Amino acid sequence: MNTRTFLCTLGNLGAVSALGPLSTSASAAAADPSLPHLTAELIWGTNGTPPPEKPLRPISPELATRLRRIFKWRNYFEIERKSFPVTASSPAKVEMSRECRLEVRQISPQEFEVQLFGKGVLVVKKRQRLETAESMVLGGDDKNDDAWFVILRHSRPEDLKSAK
Amino acid sequence: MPNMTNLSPSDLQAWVDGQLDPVTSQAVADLVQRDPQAQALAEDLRLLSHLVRDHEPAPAPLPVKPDYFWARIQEGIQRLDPDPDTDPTFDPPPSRAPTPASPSRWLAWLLPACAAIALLVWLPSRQEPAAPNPGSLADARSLPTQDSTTVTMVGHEIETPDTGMASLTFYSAQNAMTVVWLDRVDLL
Repeated sequence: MNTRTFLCTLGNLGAVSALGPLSTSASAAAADPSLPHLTAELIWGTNGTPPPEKPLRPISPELATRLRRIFKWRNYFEIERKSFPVTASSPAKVEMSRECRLEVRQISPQEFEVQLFGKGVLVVKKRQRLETAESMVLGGDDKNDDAWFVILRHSRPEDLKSAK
Repeated sequence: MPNMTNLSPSDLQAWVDGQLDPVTSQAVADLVQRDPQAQALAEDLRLLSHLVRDHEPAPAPLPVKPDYFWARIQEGIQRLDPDPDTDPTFDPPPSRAPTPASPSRWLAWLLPACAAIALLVWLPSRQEPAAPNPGSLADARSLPTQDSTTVTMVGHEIETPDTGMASLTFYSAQNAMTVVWLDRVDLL
């Protein structure tokens, strides 16, 4: 992804965020605290600096440390973060950006089926057991030796508070 | 120096590859210039050399830092065979007899060797399209992990509809992360 495309993506996020409540099919269930809530983060990994026109928020130091222990990139910036309820009946559809969508369905109390779509096309489908303190990381390399990450984990109380 | 009246194909190959000393190389060059048959063979060898070189697969960049794996291997070795000089928690059993063929010593070498082999097998396979694996949804976590730092590399537990896409999955217990790395996916 070159810088111009990247800035366009960021610009589109405003529209995506405005449509957020509509694009998340399970939004009606969002108020139900008995449902498991997951938090998804779309992250950009780079060894460079973010474009100055659109200052990006660095991810939490704890998550950055964990990612740096595994991956070669030093800097990680949050493009989008969304918390959403997950049900077994219908998959939660979460627009992370104009090009990136997640669909997550609960299989059992700690097991989820995750589908990642890129530009409307199914990229990967995975069944994942996700304990409370654990994360699932979907990632891939990007142009200019950068990388993208979609990180899925159980929501923490502060995630749900900031989502309200 | 090869006999210029009986120049073998391997001599010619060495000349094409620039492996001859200057004197021999000049002699072969003179012969090739005079002999159309040797000239044709040299041209074929040169073409073959270029074909092989031009179509060599590009080195696959590894998204995961190499020292990540080495650190895990080192931790595994230290856990299995602690160093009494550097490990303050080391408590040798009083009646422990030195046995060169003890299982822990074997494992200390076996684990890094297995990890290195897995890495070597995985790197070339990244050049080839991933085979489709419909209906093979298993969970990386369901594989046994023996300790808190085991990295489990698994495949075939995810569906990737694009057969041209390669993927790598592993679990890092230390970072409490299951990683699915996807090649050639433009998501941003």
